Formats: sequence, C-alpha cells, structure tokens
Amino acid sequence: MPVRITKDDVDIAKLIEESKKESMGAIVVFDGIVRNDGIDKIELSAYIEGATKEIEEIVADAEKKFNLLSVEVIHRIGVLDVGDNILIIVIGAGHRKEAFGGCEYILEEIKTRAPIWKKEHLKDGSRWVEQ
Amino acid sequence: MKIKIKFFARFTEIFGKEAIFEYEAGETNSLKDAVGAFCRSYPEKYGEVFTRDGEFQDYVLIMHNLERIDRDDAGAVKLADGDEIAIYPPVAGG
Repeated sequence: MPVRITKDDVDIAKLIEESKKESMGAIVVFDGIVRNDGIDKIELSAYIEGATKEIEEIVADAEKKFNLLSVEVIHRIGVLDVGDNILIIVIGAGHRKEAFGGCEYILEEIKTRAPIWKKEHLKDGSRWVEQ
Repeated sequence: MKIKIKFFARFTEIFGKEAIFEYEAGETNSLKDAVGAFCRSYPEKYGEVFTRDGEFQDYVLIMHNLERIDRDDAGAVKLADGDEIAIYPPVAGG
C-alpha cells in the first residue's frame, strides 16, 4: 500500500528492501522526526480519508512528473515523543535526480495540502501548530 | 435533508468532531449557506469560520465528499442528502 496514515511505526530498512527493483538506480528516503523545540510530546491528528486521498493524488502526480518506479508514504498520527518518526517517504527511480526530485515534491505538497495537524504539548499547556 | 459536517484540529474544540445538520431542502441552498447556518448556532464562535459579511475566513479549508473546494466557490456548491463536508484550519503535517 503506497500511502498509509497510521499510529504504528515502520521498519524503514524493510521498506527499502521491499521497494528495490532491478531497473532502479536510486532509492531516496526522507524521515521526518519530532524535533525538540522545548516540547514534551507532539500529537498528530488527521482527516484520514481526506489526507489519504490527497496524498494518493500527490503520489500519482509525482510518479508521472518524475518517472518514479516505487513510492511509499507513511504518515504517523497519535502522540509521539522527541526523535520519533513522523513522515517516512521511500522513493525508487532509475536515477538519483528523479528520486530526489520526486521525494522533495511529495514532501512539500504533503506539507501544504494533506489535512494533518500537529499539537505541541508543553510542560505548561499545549498549542496547535499552524504553518 | 441531512448532511455531515466534520471539524478538525482547533475547530474541534469549538464545534466538536462532527455534527449531523438537518434542514429543509431549499432552506439553505449551498455548502456555504449550510455551514453558515450550522455555525450561527455558535454565535460567539461564528467568527472563527466566517467573516461578518458571511464569507469563509481566508484561512478556512474545505472538503466536500473528499474533494477540496475553493472557499470562493463554496457558495455555488449544491449539496445532496448524506453529503460530507470537512472544515479545517491550515494544515501542518510532514
């Protein structure tokens, strides 16, 4: 399944192995993790059906634009700690430029289009993140 | 006619996660009218989603049956029984 929104973490090494095809010359992995901005924890929520559809459309666009051979996108939701994985993108392509380009395109489009939100939990309260 | 309105992120703290809004067909004709009628039942918080002129605030994002709708087009989107509308603030995923 190329797009998943899930509470569960994933085995990135296994994703890479499963993505490999003989026609590939490059696999690019993006792993977005929870940064310590003075927070205690971060809570991610999503409109799961809407976000899945939006990300699937982004992936379909990227596959055409960058001639990608494989795409896996896993966006986590739920309460996460500093250092936990938030967004994992694994892209396989014939060449590195296509793989890097496709990965960056998918990442930037998810950040502006997918209905997913972060709420930072601090020692003395919480706040919604709005970009 | 019954529609489902879902709210997300900070809007859930005002309107709850989702509401079934029931009204007479023809009473409110468009997506904007229906969401406006629902939000007017929260007079102190109406301004979180709509301007005084009854337009969606420029940060509000909308999906209609999982399709993104431009807020400027919301007055022209006709609803059908069972439709699902999502109203949410700017996204922050990734």
